[in-house]
Amino acid sequence: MITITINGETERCAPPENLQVWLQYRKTLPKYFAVAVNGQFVAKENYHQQAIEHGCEIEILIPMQGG
Amino acid sequence: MLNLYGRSFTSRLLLGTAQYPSPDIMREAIIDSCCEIVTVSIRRQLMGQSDNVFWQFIKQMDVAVLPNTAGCVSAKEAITTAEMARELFGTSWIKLEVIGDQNSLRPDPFESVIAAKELVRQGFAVFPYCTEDLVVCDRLLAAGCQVLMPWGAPIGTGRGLTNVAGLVELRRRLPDVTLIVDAGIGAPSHAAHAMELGMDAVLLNTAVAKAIDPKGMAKAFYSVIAGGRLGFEAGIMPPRTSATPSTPVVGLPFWHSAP
Repeated sequence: MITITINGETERCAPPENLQVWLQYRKTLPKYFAVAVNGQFVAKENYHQQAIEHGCEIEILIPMQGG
Repeated sequence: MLNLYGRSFTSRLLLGTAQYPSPDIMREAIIDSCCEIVTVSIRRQLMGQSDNVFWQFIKQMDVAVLPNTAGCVSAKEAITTAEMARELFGTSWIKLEVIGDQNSLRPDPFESVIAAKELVRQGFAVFPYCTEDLVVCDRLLAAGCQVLMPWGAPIGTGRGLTNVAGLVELRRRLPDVTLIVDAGIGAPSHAAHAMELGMDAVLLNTAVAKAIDPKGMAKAFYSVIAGGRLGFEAGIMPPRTSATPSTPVVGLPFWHSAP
């Protein structure tokens, strides 16, 4: 098991093969979102190349109202 | 016409989408404002948010979206946010906000310039939130920005134009640069004043969203911004220090009977 942080919340999970696999097992994935891992943007086409390791900090961001 | 990075717009009002009493009122205010550009942001998904009503509303509207990097305090954060926004919203437009002081929400000029350079290098069309500081504005232009967004007053204060002389000087020194006053607009008269100074457009949010009647206020801003621009283009008379009668004095009767 590894410990990772998603949107500031700590979670423990089995080490996934990559970000794409990890996202497939998320239960509450929003319809529209973008992802950053350890402060770096990860484009959708690169999900399968992005490793998820112990200590990773993942941000899942969605469209929101703004000024 | 308002030209922004190769796109033309009729309206000179850009409207924010935050703080409205409801998504329906936001949508109605956008429609009644006749704006063609709205600002949006990206934030963490909160628990239970699976259906993004807000974004569905915006997608259905015939408006361009200008994502912002609100809340960022470093160039690195702003760049990552911009990259995520480009994928999410499908636009390379980005309203660059890097805050340098949490009390006044004053932009950080150093980080803003660093971020602008990198974002331009990546192909973004950058709309930097800045002050009326001419040196910073020059640096942002040198970084590749074609539009500047000087504040009227600190974000959300509604104080209007707190440094009119600075904005006038900015307009005079940068006559060909698109200037959009962003932040601090509280009343329609503030927006009209900005337009009369020759600003190209006004971006506001709180003044409409927090009005008692956001729809009515949206209409008010639409009217005065159009009027202010017409006034600027028509040429506003310079102020005089002394009174001058507007009615001809030639042929004035009874002049000789004054005591």
